[in-house]
Amino acid sequence: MSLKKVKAFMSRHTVVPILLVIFVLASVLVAGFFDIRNLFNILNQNAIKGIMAIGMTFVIINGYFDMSLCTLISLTAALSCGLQSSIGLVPAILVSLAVGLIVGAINGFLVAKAGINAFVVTLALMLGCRSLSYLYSQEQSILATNDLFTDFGMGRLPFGMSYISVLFIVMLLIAHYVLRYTKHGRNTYAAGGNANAAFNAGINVTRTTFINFVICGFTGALGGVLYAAQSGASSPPLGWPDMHMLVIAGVVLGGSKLTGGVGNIWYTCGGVMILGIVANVMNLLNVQTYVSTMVTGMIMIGVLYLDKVLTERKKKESLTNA
Amino acid sequence: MSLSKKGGAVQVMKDWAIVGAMVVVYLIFAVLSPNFRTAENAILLLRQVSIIAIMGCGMSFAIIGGNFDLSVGSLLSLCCCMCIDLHDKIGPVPAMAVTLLVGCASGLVCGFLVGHLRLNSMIVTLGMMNVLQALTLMYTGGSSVMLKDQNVWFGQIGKGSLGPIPYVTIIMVVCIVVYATLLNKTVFGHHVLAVGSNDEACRFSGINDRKVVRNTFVLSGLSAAIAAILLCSRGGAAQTTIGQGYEFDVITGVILGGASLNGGSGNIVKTFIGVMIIGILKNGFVIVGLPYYLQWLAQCVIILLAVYVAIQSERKKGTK
Repeated sequence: MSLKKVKAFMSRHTVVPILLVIFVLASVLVAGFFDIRNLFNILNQNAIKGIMAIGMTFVIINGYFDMSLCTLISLTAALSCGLQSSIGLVPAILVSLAVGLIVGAINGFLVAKAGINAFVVTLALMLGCRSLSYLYSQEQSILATNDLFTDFGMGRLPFGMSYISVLFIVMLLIAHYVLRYTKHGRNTYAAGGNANAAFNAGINVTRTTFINFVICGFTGALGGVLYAAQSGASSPPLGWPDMHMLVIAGVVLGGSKLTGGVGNIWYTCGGVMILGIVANVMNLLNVQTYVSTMVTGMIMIGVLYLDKVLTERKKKESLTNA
Repeated sequence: MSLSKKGGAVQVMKDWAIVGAMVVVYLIFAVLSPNFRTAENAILLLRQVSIIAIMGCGMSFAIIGGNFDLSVGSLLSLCCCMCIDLHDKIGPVPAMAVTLLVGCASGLVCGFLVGHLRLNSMIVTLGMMNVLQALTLMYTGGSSVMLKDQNVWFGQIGKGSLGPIPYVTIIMVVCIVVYATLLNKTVFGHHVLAVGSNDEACRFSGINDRKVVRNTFVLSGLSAAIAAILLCSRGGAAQTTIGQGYEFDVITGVILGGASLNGGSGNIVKTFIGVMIIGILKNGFVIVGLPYYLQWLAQCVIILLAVYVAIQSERKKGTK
């Protein structure tokens, strides 16, 4: 009975078996992987990507995706570094986050209200943010001058977890709560699953979509600020050209569907960790960068295929049971 | 096509409003700068856009079929490096043939994964982007490659011209004509349009949608390889990151050309116009002396405007 339950759980959440296999293989085959300090390292290295993926999860469950992320982070990183010497640390961060909210709001307005294709809108905003980022920073790297800022970005708790990872976990819990237990979360699933049906059921689909894009803009901006805090500086090409794709890949590898309506914040966490573990293993094995890039690419395709096969098998089973 | 004829001249003009947009953008820069409105610059412009325009032809097929191909940028890098490197080893013609084959093979892999296994095209081509980048680095060992003798006839493909018209422009026009004919006049083209608008209906009516999708990716890979030959022939050298970011320029051009990203509609000539607008912006901002990064802001505004106007007219059509 319990075995059956475990099996059912595994086939419903395909990311769990995939992650487990990768984790066990890495632990057995790679020396130095199963080490508490290394495991915290993986978490710390991927916390920022994870935070951005949280916002992306909301948008993807809603049935859209946000490509403006990749240059939004360089814009907010530049703003948070450049403004902290003139207007103080807290206002600088607040301004950066506000920029993220505004970009998210523009995305949300154009997609939800004006009805333009999300790919087009967010691609356009991606170009816009890139332009503004270069304009503001004048193509220069900007150093962070405030010690508190960099201390937060580089600081760690006594047992090896960085402050950013703590923030990541807190945000995961909040996101889980919002998606699972609030009206907005349920509306998001409904709108992503079938926008027309959701609309007919009295759900304000426009507002739901709008809010989700704003959430994504906020987490993107936060990601940019955290990158700046972590490295102590901002650089104009930060995130270009494929950061958003890595974030989307993380979400999708977790098992959320780009068609919308299916997803879960823990899937996202798992998907980001799959990519993180692969990168970490490549590092530990000391392989050339290009091998690591290649394996990452192949694993993306492989996981996608596995997820497809596992989901289809589940579908067949449920058909025969019915 | 038949629908627009019914609507008469007004409808035709509305359909081709993107040409008006291009003329307006051109005129703005022509007024701002006397250096921009010279004939030499117009020809330079045609030379500059040819790479992206050729890639846009292939990308149009992928997008009309309802998929994205994000791997073309990395494929461009790989093909450039291979073509330059092989030119000195096995001669120009075999090198070009191998390059084209590599382009088709990469497209075939993407097409197999997307068409036959039905995986999401965005993630698959993103994965392929990584793989191709890695292959490029592996092939070159990370260093850039160069032709030993820069004065070979191979370099003339990219640099030379027939009278005032550069060879690359001629090749671009040929590509556009071939791809447009393929899309509008052949059975395969109609199948692509049909699969893009409703793949399930196609399956029921006996179209092999898997094969069609696969072939759109092969076309996309082939066009990237052709573009790569022109690009590396012009430069006489190639770096491993030469194609980075090209995919977004190409997709932006296709979007400006009015192809629906949900698949099912699009036009190769309009794609060319879209690419031209981006080319004019790139060229114009430099000539007028504005910082190059402002062109992205301009692109952002133009994309949103173009798509917004298209949607509004679409809605009006719907209410009539």
